[in-house]
Amino acid sequence: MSALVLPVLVIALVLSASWLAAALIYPMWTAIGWDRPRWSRAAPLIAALPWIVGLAVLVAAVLPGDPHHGPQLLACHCSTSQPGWVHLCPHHPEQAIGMLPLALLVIALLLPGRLRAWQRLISEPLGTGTGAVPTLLSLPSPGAVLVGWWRPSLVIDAGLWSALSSDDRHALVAHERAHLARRDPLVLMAMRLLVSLGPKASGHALTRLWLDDAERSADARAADEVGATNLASALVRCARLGLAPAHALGWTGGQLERRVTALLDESPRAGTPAVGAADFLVIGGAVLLALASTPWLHHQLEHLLNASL
Amino acid sequence: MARDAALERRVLDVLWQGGEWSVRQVLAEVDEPLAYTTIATVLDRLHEKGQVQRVKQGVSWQYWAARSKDEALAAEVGRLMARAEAAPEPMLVAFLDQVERVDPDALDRLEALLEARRQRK
Repeated sequence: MSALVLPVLVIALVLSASWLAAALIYPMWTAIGWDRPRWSRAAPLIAALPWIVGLAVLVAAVLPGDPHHGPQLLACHCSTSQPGWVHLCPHHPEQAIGMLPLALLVIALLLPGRLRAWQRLISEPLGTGTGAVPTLLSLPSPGAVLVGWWRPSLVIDAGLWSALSSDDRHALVAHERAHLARRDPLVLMAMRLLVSLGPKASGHALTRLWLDDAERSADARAADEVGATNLASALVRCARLGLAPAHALGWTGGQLERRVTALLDESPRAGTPAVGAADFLVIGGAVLLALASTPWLHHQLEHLLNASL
Repeated sequence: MARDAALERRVLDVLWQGGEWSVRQVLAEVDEPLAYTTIATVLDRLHEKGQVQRVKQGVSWQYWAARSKDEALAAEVGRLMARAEAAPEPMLVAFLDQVERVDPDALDRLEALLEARRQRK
């Protein structure tokens, strides 16, 4: 029994810490990120932060160190604390047994939903890899969509395609090709996976923030290729045709006016770049920083556990 | 699970070539070091999902695709689109979660803007 205490406690701590981090960070970033392309571009990094917090909590819990003497992996440091102090110490799991009911409750509340979300994500299509070569199909509703997150394919409703002029078609394909060049389907899948740790609404809002930026960037790239007026015209034409306006060319509800006016604005456009190597360096730095703080975090977690008992 | 889906896709690619196929023929066509039972299991699963039809000939089953490749892909994309419209979560590039009909007045304004832009050129 006591052997199970520590794993259960650690899982509960990791889940609750990452959920709390997401609940705090995501809404804050979403609120300040709208209309700030540099900030909204960083949404995938922000989405990763709760995972880094969770990782730090995991390491802090299972690899305790003495904050006064530096990290001591798996060392027993119980003698440095007062008698009766609840420890996250792998050598004495029975000391944390009082936290078991609360830990089980946290797991029951947070884990099943996340497992279901991950299962749904895993079952989504990888794609057939035909890229920006349009696959015309008779779809249940008109639209143009990139299907598959790993090897995406551009699938367009045959009815929508036949209703568009040659310029409109070029604009549509250029827009979707820009998404492909940025690997947006892959980043979207990564974001959906990352935000699944936190509260749904705030995760969805952060994902939407990034997707909004991705659309603007794809517009900017496509406009360079086919001309801003042609792209704007294609957007408006699809809307006028009444062909599922939220789908055609991937605009978001309520964004059409903003996107078209941005395209027609003659000031220089700059699409934000996709996630790159520098972003992964930032994530790596955050992970190292989080891990370096684990001895301190370990004792703060113990303080938290003792305060809640 | 992703690996299972990829294998199902490869088996369907074989069946989409047309005609009826035995497990052994599919195994040969997939051209990977897989067990006979693996392919048989995949075909069985696809049959349960309604993506494959079969008939028993002697001691073995003959399989064929229930729908053409285009029909199957269209159905898959249709399901995704329906989910994307119903879910609050942004799920697809080129799609968002909420379908918002564009205000006709807004379209008039945008078309006027476009026309003005063309005139200037």
